[in-house]
Amino acid sequence: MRNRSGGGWFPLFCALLALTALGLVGSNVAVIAVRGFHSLPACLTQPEVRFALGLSVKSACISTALCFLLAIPTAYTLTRSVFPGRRAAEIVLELTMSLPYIVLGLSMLILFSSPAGKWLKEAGFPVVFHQNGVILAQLIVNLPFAVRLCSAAFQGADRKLECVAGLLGASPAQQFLTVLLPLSRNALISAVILVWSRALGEFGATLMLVGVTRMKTETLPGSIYLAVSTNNLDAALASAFLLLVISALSLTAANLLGRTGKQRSRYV
Amino acid sequence: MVLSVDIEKTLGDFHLRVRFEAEREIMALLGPSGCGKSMTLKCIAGIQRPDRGRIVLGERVLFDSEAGINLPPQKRHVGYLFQQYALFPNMTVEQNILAGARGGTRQERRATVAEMVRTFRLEGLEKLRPSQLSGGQQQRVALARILAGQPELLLLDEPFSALDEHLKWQLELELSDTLKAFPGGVLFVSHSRDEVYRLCDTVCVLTEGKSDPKETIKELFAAPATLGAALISGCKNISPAEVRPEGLFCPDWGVTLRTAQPVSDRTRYAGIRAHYFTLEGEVNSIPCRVSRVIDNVFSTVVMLSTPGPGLLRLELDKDRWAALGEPRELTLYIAPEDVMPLTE
Repeated sequence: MRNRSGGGWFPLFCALLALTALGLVGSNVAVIAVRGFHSLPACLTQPEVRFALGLSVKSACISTALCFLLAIPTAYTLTRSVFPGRRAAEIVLELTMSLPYIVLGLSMLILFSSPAGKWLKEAGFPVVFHQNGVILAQLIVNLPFAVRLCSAAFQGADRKLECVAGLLGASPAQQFLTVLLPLSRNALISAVILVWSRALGEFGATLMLVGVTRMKTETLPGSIYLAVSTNNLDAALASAFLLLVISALSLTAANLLGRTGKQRSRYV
Repeated sequence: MVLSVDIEKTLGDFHLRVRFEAEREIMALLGPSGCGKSMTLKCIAGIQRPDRGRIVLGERVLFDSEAGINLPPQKRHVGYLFQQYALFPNMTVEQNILAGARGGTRQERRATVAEMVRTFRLEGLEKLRPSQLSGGQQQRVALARILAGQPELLLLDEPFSALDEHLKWQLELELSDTLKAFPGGVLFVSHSRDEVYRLCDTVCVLTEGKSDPKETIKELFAAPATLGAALISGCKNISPAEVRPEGLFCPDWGVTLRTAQPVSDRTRYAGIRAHYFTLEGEVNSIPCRVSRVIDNVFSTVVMLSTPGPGLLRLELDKDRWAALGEPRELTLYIAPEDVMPLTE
């Protein structure tokens, strides 16, 4: 191994620790990849795994769409307008990102069990212990993350070009549609993919709000939880393998798109 | 009157205080970097909001802090050429120009684009993207895009700063033709006195956010009135000065100089251009010793120590200097009409 700073023990020391880190993470990936792959064919025929996969994909798609419907205008407001309390709004959004999701789930459970939540249920939109809750949990957990990614995308676009569009006669809506959106297109697409794959893996908040009921509110992560609690490791590993494959695919797609656009880091 | 600007803006500890009126002319805003030239253009375009004041273009009030008027950029009908041209990277040349065309039917806008492509000699480049164009071509596309919207006023922000030196000349000639053909007023921001001298009719000098009264280009170079104007017009010799009955006393050079230009109680400095000195004369003699000789490309610069603590800079043709035969001492003369009294 060659290092620009020349010889010495320090680069070697760091390289050893890096190997340790890689081993810790990699061994887990390897377990799921190898053992999950073996149990996959048998499990894919089970209706329960197929139900979980279907519910996960469906709810992730709906929640991601809703998420960006809200996150794009929010990010536009945060990056393109000056208003009192902007910093406070940013802090509230950032705060929930570092909060354990089970805490968010708990607060959602309280919110939706309130009279307002009961009224929603009577109006035909049950949330608690219902598939709607799965979507809402994914939405609320991912929203701050999506806002952050969209804000980074909008900040990466050259403000001057929007000014130019304005000077040429474009209204703010036209500036947004014809300049800002096309300029941040790649970053936004990769943000959608990342948020979608996070929605697929959401578990903590979903568990609190809707619980995991077999064949009713059972997502892929929920299915792993149920399988392990009934000591069915093979089924758990098969679901885990499915999640691994999906996350690998979405990561690759996001990286490919991020490379062509001016996407910031994926650890945002 | 085409454009009348009277605005103030404070940004941190920088105060912009600009006041001028421009007719249908090519007017320069001239000043060193950071003096507020670009900020002034942005205020006129509506990208920045002045704290106080009024901007009127023709019959239309663009900004008036007292009346609470602040038109958004898209309603100002002002063309703004940015330093790096700011073409839309996601659009072709044709689409960029089309984005500038306003009003009319789709066919009329198409016709405008075709006309602009011809005027700016962009035939064959219509389907290319900005990244595939040279700097000069990008400038032409940017101008075509602006003029497609028929603005009432053109704002040019250092239009040659993004170009290599050898490209500037050709583009300057082209831009000069475009500006002369433009029916409205033109504001040209630059820190280069040469560009301004060649392209503009009038000039307003900005020093640390404050504007001098408008003057013609010839006036600026013949007799700059302020210290800032003298510096930006390229005056190399400046000393503090005191008005005395016998002339201007310049403590830096230890001499009292007669001047043919009017002095006032606001006169604080005296300026002398480096190539206006003569080696023979009758009045305003300054006995000097040669302190340093610097060879320039086409001229020789001689730094001379004076009776006072300051140095004088003399610039003359190489041949003339060579003919003098490396003198140790030299007496300079300066005609009274070339001694420029300057205010703060």
